[in-house]
Amino acid sequence: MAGVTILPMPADTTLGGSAREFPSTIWSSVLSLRDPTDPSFAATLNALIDRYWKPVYHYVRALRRVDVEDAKDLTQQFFARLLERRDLERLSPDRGTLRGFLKTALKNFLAGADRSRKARPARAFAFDEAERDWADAARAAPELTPEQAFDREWACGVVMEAVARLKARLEADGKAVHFEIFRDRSDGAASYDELAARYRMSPKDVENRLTFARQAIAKILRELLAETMEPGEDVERELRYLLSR
Amino acid sequence: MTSDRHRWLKGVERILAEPAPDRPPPQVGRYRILREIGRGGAAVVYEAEDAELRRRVALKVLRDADTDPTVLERLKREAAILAGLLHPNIVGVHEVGSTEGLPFIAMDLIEGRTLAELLREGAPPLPELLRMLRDAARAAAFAHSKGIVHRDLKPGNVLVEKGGRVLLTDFGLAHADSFLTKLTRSRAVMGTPQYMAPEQVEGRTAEIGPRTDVYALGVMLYEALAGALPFPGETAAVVYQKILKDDPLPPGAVPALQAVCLRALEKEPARRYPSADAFADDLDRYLEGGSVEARPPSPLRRLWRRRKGWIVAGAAALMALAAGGGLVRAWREEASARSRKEEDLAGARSRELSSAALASLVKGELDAAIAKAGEAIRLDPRNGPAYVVRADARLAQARPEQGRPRGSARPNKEALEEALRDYGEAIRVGPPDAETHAKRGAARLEKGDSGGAIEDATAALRIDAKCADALYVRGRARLEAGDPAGAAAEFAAVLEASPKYFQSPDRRQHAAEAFYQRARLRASAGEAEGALADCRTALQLSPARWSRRAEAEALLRSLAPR
Repeated sequence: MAGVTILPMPADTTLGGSAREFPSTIWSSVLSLRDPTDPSFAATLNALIDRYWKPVYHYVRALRRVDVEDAKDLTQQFFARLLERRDLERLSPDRGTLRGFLKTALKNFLAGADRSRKARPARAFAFDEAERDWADAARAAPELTPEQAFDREWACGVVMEAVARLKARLEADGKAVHFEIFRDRSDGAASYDELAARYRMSPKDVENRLTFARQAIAKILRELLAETMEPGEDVERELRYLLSR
Repeated sequence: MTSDRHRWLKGVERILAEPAPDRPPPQVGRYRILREIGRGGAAVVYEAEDAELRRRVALKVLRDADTDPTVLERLKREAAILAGLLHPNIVGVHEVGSTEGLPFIAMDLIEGRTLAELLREGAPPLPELLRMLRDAARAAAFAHSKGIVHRDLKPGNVLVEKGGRVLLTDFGLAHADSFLTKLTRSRAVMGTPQYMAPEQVEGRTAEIGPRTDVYALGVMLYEALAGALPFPGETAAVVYQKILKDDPLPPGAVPALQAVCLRALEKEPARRYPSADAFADDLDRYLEGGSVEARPPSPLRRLWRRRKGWIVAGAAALMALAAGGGLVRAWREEASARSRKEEDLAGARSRELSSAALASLVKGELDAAIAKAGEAIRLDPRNGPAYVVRADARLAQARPEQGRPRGSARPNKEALEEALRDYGEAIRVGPPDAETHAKRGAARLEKGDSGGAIEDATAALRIDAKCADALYVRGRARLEAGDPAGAAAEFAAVLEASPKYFQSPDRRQHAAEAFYQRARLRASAGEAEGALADCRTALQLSPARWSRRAEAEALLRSLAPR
């Protein structure tokens, strides 16, 4: 009990909205990043940082392969400067995806990075985890350019999020086995017959469960991508791009 | 764990590249799929062969990814009833079943088109259409005699064979279908509301009966006569309102047919034809050159109905609210739906003001929000959403540092009391809304009333079992009440329902606190594994500057296996 004070519910709940994910009126709330006094600014900014800090770190790591501490500093600084310099005010639907915007901002930042002073950290990042992921990515593909590293880490993040949501949804619906079959199939591409033996059901039942899970994850991926895209942008193209990373 | 990320990325790519997501399973139950013949929102219809009986069937496979097991149970119950519906104008159902995860219905295969297709492509001559509707009405009357109401009659459910024979399909499944639709978590609009009778729109289920189907037949007749729907509209909310309060424009046909049509479209079931047979009889009389029974409604009654419409318009708004889930969205739809000329001015003004109040609140203009909401309430004391906006604005005003983790002022007592009163009013006037309960729960928590907060959160969860705000409030309340284990369980449920809920530092702090305390309890009870997991969760969730970090890390080290 000690140490707990009752703090007010944060802004998002009082508006009946939600900051758990990117708020659903997607691009318009991304645009709230242009205005720090906007009530949803903090929540949206948090969601933005959550989704993009690791890709940023990977970009920097791919650029400066030697110095880990340097990469951490630059990642921190990037987000801190993004706020300080009010780059976000230039966010505009005409400039393409949020991902594209951030990459450009990052490139500009790194080109002119004022390394002389330390920025106040924007937030504490789990760099150890990011570093493990980076080592992993570098092992799998040693020649990634910074851009590729960014996109690939972004794609991984989106897919992991989608898988987590799929798991939660299927389990909540009493379909935990659907998820296990999906996991096994995507992991090693076990044949339907092998899966049927493993789960003691007919290959046909395996196929039906896979169909179900496949539709569900496709739907979730589209939802996730749509969250940071302008209405009318091509979610399908973005999905193809994501899966080709 | 980490290399999982790339494996998943490649795995998901591979699995999505496998055969097209909608590819039919080659075999469903004892049916072998031959080809797709149609698809709707929740189902695909295939031509298939019954391997045992060696005959062709139409196989409807429900494909919604959120299908609930209870839907299947209901389908099966209905199948028993449908088996008794043997009629030349009703599509026979052979079997309702499921192969794991995919519920299906096997029925007669009809070579023909739907009435919807025929109407789209340029309607058949009127006498032919009238005969089709008459046959459809007779088939419906037969079902009514067996105690079955279709509930979802529409041109898409009327099949017409080449020779002109009409068959009704999807009998009695409407219930299951709409249930399915409600279950879909996507924001997809509900199925077409155009053929819904007022009693369906308002959810007066006790009044749904044969005359509900008569109403739908009336809509189809209207379409046949006017070439348009009686209540067009872009959003469901607009259509609902019109169904409840507007008189349809005369469909522009000979007076006798107009009278038949308008009688079938009466708002009150008791004023419609008493049965589908009576509707069919009137069509027969017209076709045979006789005079119909229906009379045009008198001008006086129209006037009365219009006044009554003011009241039901409010109900339509509430209904849209319940259906849409989001307050904001429903208000917007409703605002655009408004046809000013015949509306109750005070009610309309009140709703307008509450929309404006919400807009002010969102922009952070709190004084304006409070003033507008107050005026909305003055004009219409039953405007629930207005109370919620006013309460939200008062709380926001009382804590200017809102959203900041530290040093944030607590709302002063007065504002808190006022907000609590407003949430209470909103709950009292309805409609039931999980968010409102969760908000009052949060406000009670601030007042130190953890019992009340738990009560409200529980009420919210009864309305929406996955309301993360309510789970969070209950977790906070349990923590306050000295039950960290209970709190951790609630927060775990939040994590499950909504993994990204814990983003703001104060939420993180409470969750970390609960998990850490549960870890300590578990550790002292000798449950090392559970304690370890809790400790890790606590550290993962903890905000950047967490006063207990060192303690938690020490505990973690003492627990961690070598």
